[in-house]
Amino acid sequence: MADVGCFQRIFIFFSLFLLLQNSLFAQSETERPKKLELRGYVKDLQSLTFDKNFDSLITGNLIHNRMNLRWNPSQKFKGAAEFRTRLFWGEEVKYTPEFSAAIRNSNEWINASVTWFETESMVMQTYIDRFWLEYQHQNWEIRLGRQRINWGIATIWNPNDIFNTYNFLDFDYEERPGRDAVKVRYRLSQTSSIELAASAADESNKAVAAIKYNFNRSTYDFQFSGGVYHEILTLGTGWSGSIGQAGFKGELQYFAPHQDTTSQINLVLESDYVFEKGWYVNLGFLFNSKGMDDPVENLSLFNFQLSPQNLMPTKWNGVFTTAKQFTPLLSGQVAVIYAPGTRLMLVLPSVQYNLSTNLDVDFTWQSFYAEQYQDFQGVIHRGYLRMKWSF
Amino acid sequence: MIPSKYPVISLLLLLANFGLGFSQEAKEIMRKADEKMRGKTSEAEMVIRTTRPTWSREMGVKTWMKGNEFAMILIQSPAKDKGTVFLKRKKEVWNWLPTVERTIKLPPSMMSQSWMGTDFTNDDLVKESSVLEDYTHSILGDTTVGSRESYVLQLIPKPETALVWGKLIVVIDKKDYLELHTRFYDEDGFLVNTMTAYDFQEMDGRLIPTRFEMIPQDKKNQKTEIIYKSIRFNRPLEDSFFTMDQMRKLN
Repeated sequence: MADVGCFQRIFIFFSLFLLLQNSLFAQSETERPKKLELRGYVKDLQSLTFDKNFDSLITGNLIHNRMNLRWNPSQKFKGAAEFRTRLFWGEEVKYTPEFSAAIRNSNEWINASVTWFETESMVMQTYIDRFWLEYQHQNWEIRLGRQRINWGIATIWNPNDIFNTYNFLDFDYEERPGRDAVKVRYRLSQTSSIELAASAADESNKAVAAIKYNFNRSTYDFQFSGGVYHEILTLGTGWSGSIGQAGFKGELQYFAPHQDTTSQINLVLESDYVFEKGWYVNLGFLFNSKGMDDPVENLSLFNFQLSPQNLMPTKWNGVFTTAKQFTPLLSGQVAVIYAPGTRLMLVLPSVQYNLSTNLDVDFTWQSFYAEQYQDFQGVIHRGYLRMKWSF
Repeated sequence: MIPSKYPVISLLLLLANFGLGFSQEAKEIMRKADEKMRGKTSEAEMVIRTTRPTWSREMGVKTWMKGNEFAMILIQSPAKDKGTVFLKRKKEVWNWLPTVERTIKLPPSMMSQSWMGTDFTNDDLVKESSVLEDYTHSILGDTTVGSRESYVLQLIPKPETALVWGKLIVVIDKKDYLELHTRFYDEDGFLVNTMTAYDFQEMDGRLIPTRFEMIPQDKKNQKTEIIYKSIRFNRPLEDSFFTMDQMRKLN
């Protein structure tokens, strides 16, 4: 716990330092047009959760507001605060034990969520998932505070994203979770840079710190990283380029043995292509050396509490995605994930329609299948109807 | 099939195989027209309007271009897409997604596809292909568009280029070298798209068309327009502007 206190003091010190610096030099540059900008959206999400045979149904309702506040006091400084307020009600809240705890981000170091009220079947919570200040000078860039550190390259699974793994099933969280961290970036050339990031956590052994070097060569982007994840030494590499007209991306992350645990490898390979008439296809593959490889009788073992070490609970995983824009207003996509050992299958179709300039509606379906008691069968099915108004 | 406005072209299309013109002169005409709208560098603000029989949508974008090698496009409206950036460096294209603050590299096969649902392709927007280097040019003849005396050029892609078009017919004004009208044909010789220039105005000291209409041949009741709000030519724009760092800084 001593470490946490130390981190906290450094954090506060730098925040004050940056704020002071900022107020002193704020008047010198006035090029940016908007000093303060507020954007965001309001969403309404209706959800239906069915059991395997569609015998039982649990409904859920969510009204969701996001406010993104951007502050551009000068060319050297900028800041952001983003607020996610959600009002949940209905059976989903009623039947989920400790609902308000379940919707918290377990990665956060400083508790930045407020539960406005909580009844048996209704919860309202505001969560600040971005709160940072950034300083840019020449080739340097320093960002401090709650932020997202995106080191991932691939589409669904990102082994290199060791700071803030996101749940690919949580389609209603487009911004993805962030972390309390400091990130320093130094630009070496037009196409290469070094980035150092360190993030704090509730418990000192949950901290993550790493350094990444990325560069571009022969029409490929490459990156190499090394650091410490939850006291485990970790190394990663990733690339994105193309073979012929198809994209080719990959990410590899290695976790060294630590105390009682053995080493681990996560590997993702992915290729995408756009056919004539605009059909987009993406074929991906994930190997998790510590994943399950046999059918599981108790499906609660399928833990989708994802982490950098657990991008999927299963060992071998394939994903096929196809997407198409049918008209400029209507588009659709289907993703099918299959893990052969456990015979786990996820079918994830969705359609989106733009009703007017700032109003969108979409429908998303998630069906889970798995082998249970020598029988391949449905497990759970979910449908979501969503309206979104952006401003 | 062919608008009566351009009777000369329709005749010339029939005679296309006889189009022998002077290749060097044709290329020079094309070069002047290309230079007119492109400059060595350009920075523009424009509205892209997509129209279909029952609806229309507008998108505000800002673009920076330098030669054929570098391009950057920033979407300024509508709200949900604001801050999205496309960056092109030589043969590579990246897409910056502001909501998640990450870059996605696009596969090369995406270049020939519709750009964000418009009748323009990614290639049209970032000028991946060069109207000068990737085609062989010939003069088919002359025509008059409105009161403008014009050349009619034919552009055939060079065999080694992987262009989606089979042929381009371009009408260029003789006095100001304005690209007035372009017809895009597929590899089987069928007309696919027609682009026409309107609203000639002086911007940054140059007379240019400030509105272009792209109409797909098989869908006559739909179109996409590009309307220039402002454009600045030949201001210094370093190569280092066209980087992933800059994509992030635009937000």
